Amino acid sequence: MSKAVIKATCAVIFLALLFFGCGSPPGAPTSPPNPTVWMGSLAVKVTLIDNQNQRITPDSVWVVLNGDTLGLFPNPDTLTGIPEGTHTLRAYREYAGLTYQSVAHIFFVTWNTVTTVTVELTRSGVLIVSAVAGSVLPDSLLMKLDGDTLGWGANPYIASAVPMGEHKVVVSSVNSEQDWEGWKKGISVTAAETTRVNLAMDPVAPDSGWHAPDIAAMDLDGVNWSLSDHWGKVIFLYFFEHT
Amino acid sequence: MTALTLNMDAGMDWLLPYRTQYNLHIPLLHHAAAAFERFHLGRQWQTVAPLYILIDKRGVIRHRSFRQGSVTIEELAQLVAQLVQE
Repeated sequence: MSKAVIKATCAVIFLALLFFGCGSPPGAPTSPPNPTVWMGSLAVKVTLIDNQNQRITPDSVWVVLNGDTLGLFPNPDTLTGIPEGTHTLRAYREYAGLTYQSVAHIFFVTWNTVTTVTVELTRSGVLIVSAVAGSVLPDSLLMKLDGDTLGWGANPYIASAVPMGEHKVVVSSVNSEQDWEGWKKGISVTAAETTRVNLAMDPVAPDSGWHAPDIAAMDLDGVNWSLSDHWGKVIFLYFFEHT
Repeated sequence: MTALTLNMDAGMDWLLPYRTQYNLHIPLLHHAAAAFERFHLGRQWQTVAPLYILIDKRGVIRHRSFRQGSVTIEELAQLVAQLVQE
């Protein structure tokens, strides 16, 4: 073996020891920069669902971390220096004159890693409707929101992604003896918030002095009509027969 | 206020010319037999159409007529006005 080969082999071994035996490779984590506060990073990606249900990527958003407004950040962006642990993040921004908000995202940041949080800004909130029939809490409710039948669900009924604004709710339930119905209009739903409504339903019967039964039928132009869509107004019904 | 007319037994071939003949602008609902039944109307309940029902803003039935002429137009207008003002 020539001297040159021996020198080259020693150089390789030396370099190997230098990088792998006596220390970490460049860029590899060794110890936290500050042993008392271990930091990670947070990649925030935000999309916005506008009033036409179109998904938009805003160029900047306001970021609220653990209740503190950090400021207006570019979107997407990576926030550094986030202490390791559990955090809560909200985001919001103005768009076309309206405020869009996210729900609260809870996530965990690990030291020296990047945690990604995908956030959606909407104009919607959550509506929880609880209803009693007399002194009984029915197991299930038929829920109508602004005239749209959402279907049967457990009581309380949880409607998610309810657009921000004022709404009208009609709920009904049936037991072996009696139909029940309750409704309320002017329910204000705030974006990214939960609104709770408690309703006391009335027994339904076709006689004077009782809550009217809901009925539905189609008109000659193909439009569906439902009485419960008109609770809150005086209603005049005129029944007639051909024969 | 919402005003609806409901027919239980006629088809479109009769109802469309009827609407045109009387120049009706309020919604005319057809095949409303189920609605009729829900209000306990009809011969089995000793009530014969034409008849009307007035419902207040709370959704409570306030007046039911049981035959044509049981209430005059003037009385009916008074009842409606009273419910609208409540």
